Amino acid sequence: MFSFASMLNAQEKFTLSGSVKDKTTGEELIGASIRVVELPNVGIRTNEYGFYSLTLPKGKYAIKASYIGFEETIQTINLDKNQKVNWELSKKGREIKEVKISAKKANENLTQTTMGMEKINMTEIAKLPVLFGEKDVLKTIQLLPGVKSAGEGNSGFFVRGGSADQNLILLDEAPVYNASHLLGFFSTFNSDAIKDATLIKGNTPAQYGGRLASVLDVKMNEGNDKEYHVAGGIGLISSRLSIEGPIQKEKSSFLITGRRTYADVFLKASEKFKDNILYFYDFNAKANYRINKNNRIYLSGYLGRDVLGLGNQFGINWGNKTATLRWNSIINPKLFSNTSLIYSDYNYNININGDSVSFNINSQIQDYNFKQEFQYYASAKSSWRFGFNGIHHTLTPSRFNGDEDVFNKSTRVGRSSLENALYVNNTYIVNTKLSVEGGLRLSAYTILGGDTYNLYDKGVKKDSVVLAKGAIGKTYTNPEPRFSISYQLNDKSSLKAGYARNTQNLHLLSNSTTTNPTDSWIGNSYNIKPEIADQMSAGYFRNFKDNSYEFSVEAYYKDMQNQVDFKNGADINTVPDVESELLFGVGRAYGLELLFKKKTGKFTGWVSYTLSKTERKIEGINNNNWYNAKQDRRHDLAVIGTYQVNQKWSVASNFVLYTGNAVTFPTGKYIVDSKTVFLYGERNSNRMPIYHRLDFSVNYEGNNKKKWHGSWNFGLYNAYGRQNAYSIDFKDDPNDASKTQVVKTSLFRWVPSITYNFKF
Amino acid sequence: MKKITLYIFSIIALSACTKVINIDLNSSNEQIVVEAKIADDASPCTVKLSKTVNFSNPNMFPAVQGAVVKISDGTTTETLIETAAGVYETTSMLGVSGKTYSLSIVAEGKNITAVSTMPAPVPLDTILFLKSRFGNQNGEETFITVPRFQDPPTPGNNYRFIQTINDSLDKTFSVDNDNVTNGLPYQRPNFTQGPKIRMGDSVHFEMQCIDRPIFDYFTSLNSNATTTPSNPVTNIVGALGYFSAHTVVRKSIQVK
Repeated sequence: MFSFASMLNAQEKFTLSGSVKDKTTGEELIGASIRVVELPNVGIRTNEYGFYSLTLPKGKYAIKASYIGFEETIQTINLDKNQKVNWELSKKGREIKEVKISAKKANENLTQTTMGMEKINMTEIAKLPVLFGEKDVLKTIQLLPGVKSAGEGNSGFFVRGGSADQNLILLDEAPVYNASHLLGFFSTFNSDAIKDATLIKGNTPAQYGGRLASVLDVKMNEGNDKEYHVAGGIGLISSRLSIEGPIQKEKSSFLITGRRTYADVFLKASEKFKDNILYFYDFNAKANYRINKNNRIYLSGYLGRDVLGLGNQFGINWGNKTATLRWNSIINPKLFSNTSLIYSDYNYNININGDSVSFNINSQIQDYNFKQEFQYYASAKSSWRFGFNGIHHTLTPSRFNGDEDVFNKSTRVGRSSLENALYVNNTYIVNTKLSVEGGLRLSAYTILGGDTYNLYDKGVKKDSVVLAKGAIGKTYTNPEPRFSISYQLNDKSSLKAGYARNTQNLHLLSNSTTTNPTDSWIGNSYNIKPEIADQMSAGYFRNFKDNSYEFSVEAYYKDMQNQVDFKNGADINTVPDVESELLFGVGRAYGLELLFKKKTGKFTGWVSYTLSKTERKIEGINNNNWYNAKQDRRHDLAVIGTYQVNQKWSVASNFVLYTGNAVTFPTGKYIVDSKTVFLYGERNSNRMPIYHRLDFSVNYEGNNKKKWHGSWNFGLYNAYGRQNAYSIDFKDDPNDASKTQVVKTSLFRWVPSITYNFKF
Repeated sequence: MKKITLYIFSIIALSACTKVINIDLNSSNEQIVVEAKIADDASPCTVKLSKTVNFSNPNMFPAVQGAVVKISDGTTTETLIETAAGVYETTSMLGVSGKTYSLSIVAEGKNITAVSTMPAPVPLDTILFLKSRFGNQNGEETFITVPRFQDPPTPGNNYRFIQTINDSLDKTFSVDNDNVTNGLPYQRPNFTQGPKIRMGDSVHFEMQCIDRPIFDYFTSLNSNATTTPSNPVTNIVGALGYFSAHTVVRKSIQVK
């Protein structure tokens, strides 16, 4: 007697492949689900270009395509040869009643093998209240478990105890080195143009690499290839505009978006601040062209800049520039290829112009990146991804330059290196209950010539390596295994576990308690070794009431090696070799993350709670003992709710609470040259006070009848005006020289926002 | 560089508000603080010894009396005399450039030592004034001192600037080196957090040539404002504070 499985194997197989798109805009849907109605455990999701491939035995099948927020569509296929089957899905109307979701589609959270992965739904976040009313991917991910915000006035975020530079932020495959505008108040992502954003907390599949803690992969829209649209928003502090449309209907399309703040316009009204300059702008442009039904090319670019200044005496500006050229090719129904050429640049400039002196400090990082990836859909059970990624980096550390009569020309030069990786990843469905994902990434970092590299032992120079231009220096090679396993206990719950090793070859040298745009990046050297993290995680996932409710609990433990920090009193900008100021050590982080989500009905939302600890042990700091990392926070809670009142009105609210970061407070004081100076004990053994805040927003959708669609968003950030501490400083009492006092600085109390959004 | 970071923050924090709060701070054992200097202007070598106190105490730092303080220039050793509570001075030893001075202190049963080498003197040409509106109320124009001098061609010169405005000491620790101005005319504005300088004010400016450990000491003290604070790197072994052998040049100018 044959078993059904062996009968399946014995038959002839054919491949069904194609794409899933949004019917109105023509945008490819990433991660759309393709399932076979007759074979409930067989299915695949579309890749980042909306492509899928499914190999089945010859036969007649009902194939169902689905994607959150869209109507499911079924097509009946008679699979007797390889076939191309495309889908165009229609957006769902606004949900008012409880909707029953088919159990098979909605339990993605249970079945997906990749651990610690969160997909951000762009329509869901549209209604969440945020500071200044700008909906923002970066702010939203900070409401998820395991992700901590760096705090108000700080850019960056921390994932599972990692530092702000340990997150790989990709915009259409190009790395973004500083994803924040104006010190963290806004992110560089214009939400109008984003199609998809996924956060993977450390257990990344082998196609990702280069940072220890996480990957935030942001994909932009391609542009409506059927008709022209203009959309935008006008707010109190900033405005944005986007234009999209076909270049050639259904063959090519473009998208241009721009955004600018004008906070400084208000400053001009104030006598004290009228010379202050404070603005940022960003600009995205994309175009794509279908060469034929199997080949498509894309060109995208991003340009953003932040400018702060005081008249023409003092100015600081910084920003990212990226450009990507990609070519997708469907080589055969089972083999998909993507080739990318990427350019990325981040730099900052500080200018001081006095009557008698002017100088400038600048730093830059420039990348040229070539990527080739193949996705091979071997069978309904197994799919492969393998490829190569090569980046040429030029990192120019901060350089001090001025009038050459008065300042020496800086001797610091740009350093070049090659960061290469080869990877292979396989996702395998063992049986109806068990699926595994395993991969290996082999990364290599090669130091190229053109500079002198010094070796230090405890800050004292021991040796020097001079590499002539064109010479090849040391190569660091690291194998990075990645593994995860998902076991479905029943159709309501699953267990997952995973292990991943990640290495990081670029390091952000940050000498302050906050993240500054003037922190500079440095690559590995003869002194600085690749950072390595080993993370183990395990989780239990449970859905309730037909997948309307999701619950998960995940625990992780991470070990980090070759962590970098500065010695006390380091002078980064003018010392000839910044490496003389560095210290090295290890880190460890562990935690428990809980998430409870309600996905359907008028009222939706989630509760996220993280309990965690992260520490470092650096030789030369804190007497070589373990100390709390500055981003260590024991408890983090976020409660988010959105209520759809009717077709037009919805309200949303966030409540955020977290215990304080680790800081170092004085244990005493003394006098030096008539000035009160503070005495410190163990590093980071104190805590900032607890932080909590409630935000509200109200959204009104206008008429959808005519071509013009407008909506209003009213928000109130920090509804009860709590004066959360931004910093705590210790100083002499200005009114009583015989005393010292503790001063808390808070940034925002009640911040209202009004935004008018339009689309036509 | 730290000053620049502080400027950025003061621009951003337009809506910031401050409040005095109470925090329970840990306390630590009393430690001895040494403020010791010897200069080349024929003034005595002065050593002040005091102690640390808890944060919540008033700013009265107890003097350490009855300590045995000795200074040696390599050939002669002199024992300093306590002229006031916790203040010890020499009567004969003079500070000379190029000499290395060793300090040894026995106070309250503790042995404390320190070493500092007096650098070669660098003459100060003049003090200029740079007009600035930054951080001033109502766009008022105030002045920033700009010391002008020629940095010697060999690298490794470290400087400290101390200014007094109308007899009010500017307590900012202002130090700089020649990393970016080696061998060139130095003309960098001396940004401080001290009293504002206005037209008609009398400014007494002191420029010291200090050794590298003293530059590191004051730089690490200043960095506590923006980085994770810690105790500064010090050239005193066995106590807090510093011992500086420096050359001194003074100029007095009135802002016209």
